[in-house]
Amino acid sequence: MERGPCFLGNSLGDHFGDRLRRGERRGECLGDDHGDLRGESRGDLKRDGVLCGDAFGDRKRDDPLRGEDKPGDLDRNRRGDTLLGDNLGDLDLGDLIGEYLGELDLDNLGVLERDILGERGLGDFDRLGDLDLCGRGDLERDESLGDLPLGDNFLSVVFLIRTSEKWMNTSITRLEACLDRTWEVLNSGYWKDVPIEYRYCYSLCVIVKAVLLELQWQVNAKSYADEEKKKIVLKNIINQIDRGILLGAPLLSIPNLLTTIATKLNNYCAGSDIINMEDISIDHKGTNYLISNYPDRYFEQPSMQTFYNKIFMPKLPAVLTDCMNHWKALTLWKNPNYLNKIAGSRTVPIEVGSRYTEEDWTQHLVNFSEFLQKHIITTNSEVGYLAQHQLFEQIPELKEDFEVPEYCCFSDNEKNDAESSEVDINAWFGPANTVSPLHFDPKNNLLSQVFGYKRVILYSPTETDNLYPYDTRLLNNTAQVDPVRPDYDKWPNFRKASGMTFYLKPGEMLYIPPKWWHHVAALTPSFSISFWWN
Amino acid sequence: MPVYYTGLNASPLFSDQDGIITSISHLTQIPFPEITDIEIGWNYFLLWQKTKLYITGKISEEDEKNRPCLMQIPEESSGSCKLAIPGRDSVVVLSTRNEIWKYKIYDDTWQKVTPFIPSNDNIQVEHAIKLSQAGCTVILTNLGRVFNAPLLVEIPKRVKFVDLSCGFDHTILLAENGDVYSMGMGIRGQLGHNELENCDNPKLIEALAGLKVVQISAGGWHSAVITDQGDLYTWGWNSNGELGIENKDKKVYAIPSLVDFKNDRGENIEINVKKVECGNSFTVCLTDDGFFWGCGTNKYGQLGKLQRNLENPYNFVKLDIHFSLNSETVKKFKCHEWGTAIITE
Repeated sequence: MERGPCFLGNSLGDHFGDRLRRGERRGECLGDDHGDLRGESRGDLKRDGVLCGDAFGDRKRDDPLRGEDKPGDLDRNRRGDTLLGDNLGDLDLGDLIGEYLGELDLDNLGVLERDILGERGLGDFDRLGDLDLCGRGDLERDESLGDLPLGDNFLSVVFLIRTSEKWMNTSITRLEACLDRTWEVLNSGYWKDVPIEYRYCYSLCVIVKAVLLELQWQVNAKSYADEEKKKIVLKNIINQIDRGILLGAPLLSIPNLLTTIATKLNNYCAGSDIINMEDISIDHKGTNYLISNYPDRYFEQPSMQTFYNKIFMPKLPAVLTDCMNHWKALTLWKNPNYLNKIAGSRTVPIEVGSRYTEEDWTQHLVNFSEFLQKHIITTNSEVGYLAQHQLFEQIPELKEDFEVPEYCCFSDNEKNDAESSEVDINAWFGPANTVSPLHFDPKNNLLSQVFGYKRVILYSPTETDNLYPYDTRLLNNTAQVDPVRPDYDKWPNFRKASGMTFYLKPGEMLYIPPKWWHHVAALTPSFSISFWWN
Repeated sequence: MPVYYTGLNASPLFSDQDGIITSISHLTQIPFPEITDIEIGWNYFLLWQKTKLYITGKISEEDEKNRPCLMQIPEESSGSCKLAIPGRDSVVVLSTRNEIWKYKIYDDTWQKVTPFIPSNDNIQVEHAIKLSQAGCTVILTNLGRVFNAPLLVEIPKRVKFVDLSCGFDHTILLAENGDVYSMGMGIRGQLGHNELENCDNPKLIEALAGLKVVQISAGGWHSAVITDQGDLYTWGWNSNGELGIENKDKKVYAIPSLVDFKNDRGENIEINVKKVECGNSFTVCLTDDGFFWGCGTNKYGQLGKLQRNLENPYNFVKLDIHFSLNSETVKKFKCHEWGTAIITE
């Protein structure tokens, strides 16, 4: 936890305000850079909507095909001639519909909508009201199919598309309108207060847009004969889906839908997108002599009991060594080709600028492969930091390379409910010289060093008065003092503050107790995972 | 008096053989008889025929109901509609008897808002003269007081407000003496206080103090004002160029800045701005020589056709109005949500 959060709204759950501060601080939410991210077709990176078809009421409800075909037929008919299908084998449109959306085609979005909205009236929920996901009127819920019964609007959609390119383009525009509109809501007020329904709505629109983009590609397939163009379309779809993951929320009945599709598409692209990158070079000669000033706070593979009695209970910082030797991440992640294969086509939020308290600090959404090439492998005068991002929710495959430390099972809370036992896992990946200014977080933290070296300077909460926290709402967990270049004239009491400095090496974990102030600087390219829990 | 519209459309009034036209990409006359004015919602319009108010847009499953329908306050004693403010799922209406009503669009129901403006013994009866709604409904009274319905907003002593305008999360207010105040969320620089803090009550925008502001407008996450010298100032979130500031690297402008106008050769020119209107992420202004200028997103045709072929201009560019228009015939224009309308004499 080096700092607060992307307003980006990661899909991953609502976090306490702290997380939001990171982004709200600058008012730069992800959303805002959609301009930069825009691909070839205008606006295609923003939001979406088949719903579109419906959105403004020209839904072709009387389509004669409606109700005659079944998704199975569609599947059979189309397997092999869709972009997704052709190239992904097991992920063509038919599958999207049958396997994933299966029970989620347009007609049922209305039902879904109802489920999502629960008791809330549609009337006062304009977002979905506007979207009019589909016949929200008189759908009957099919109990046997659970929350997302099957419908066949999708078929109508597909066949209509075959006959009307114009219809398709109009639909995409409407879907975009739905996405842009939802985006406005997601960016209004505080992220944590945005009703989850809008985030479901965003996810739904993204799914439908992905399907429409594929269909659009098919309609135009003759003009994009070559592989490269196909890849551009695919990457655009992946980008859409990542936006859905970042801004939307996992749908209750199919929470892995977006991540699964994105993983498959990425794997498809990765096959032909190999870049040969050398291992990330970590020159730690300069760091060998660095010795932490509290050697008695080092514990080699502490037992659960030792961790509890000497570290967790007394709430004292400590470095835990040899606890993560078995993580595959330690060897695999240094290899950029490995990371590129798993995540190369994905879109991730990065922070650019020296530190989040500075004016030049901002957040961008970037392609992961580009981030690797521009910020990690080569030196860039502009520091780009993939910071405090729930990367492992976005790309669950990476989760297989590490484990949540058992130490995280100790709780400060009496009650042991699901919420309090949840561990919030964030990735911190960047070049040398990333800095998180002195700040504190409300939760326990195990900052785990996968590769590279970091220096962490810690101050106890009792030193707060000597650190001069900002008095503004957004930055009140951040100190004005820079412990690395202290200005004693400006902050005289800082002389009295006594801190602890730790140099974290690969394979070491630092326990940072809640509310302890910490300043974190990467001495080399570095990848850390933080585990936050209550 | 034709009314022209450009931007997102959900009304069957604009249709072709394939159905409703989603984006009206240039100012187009609204095909509705005897139209005198329009209020722009996101997915619907409110159309005025003098004192009669009609609603049309994507508000019902039944296409017929999406054609213009007369909106009538159910209690005759309330009078007819005088002002109507389109919101997400409701229209707030001020009646000719100064009662406030809420019309729930999707339910097609009316609800009378319990009067909250205190009646007192003053000689002058206090009533609403202007309303604005976004996250909340803000009301200005004839006495210059402001209600964040239903609560009276604490305003500085001796300040009388004469106008107000709301963005998504903020409100700006014009005082009688030309000062501008703001309140609400400041996270994207909306408040213009040179910080990102929120503000519960109207606070003077010091950067504009000393200037006499004559007209204000807020939309989305930004605001724009005009001074008596014809200068235009903008601030807030420049997410799509809506501030008319070309720098794309910086998005948040937490302090009002004077907007430069440039000619086709990129040279700064002197210009007198007469009126400005903010949509959600675009801005349109009218200059005293009768030209319309716009900046920000034009994805759904919000700006209509531009004289230069730019998708989403970050500085003000002239709009291409291809019907005959001179400054005398323009009665007014307005931007709201994702659309722009010009009402002519």
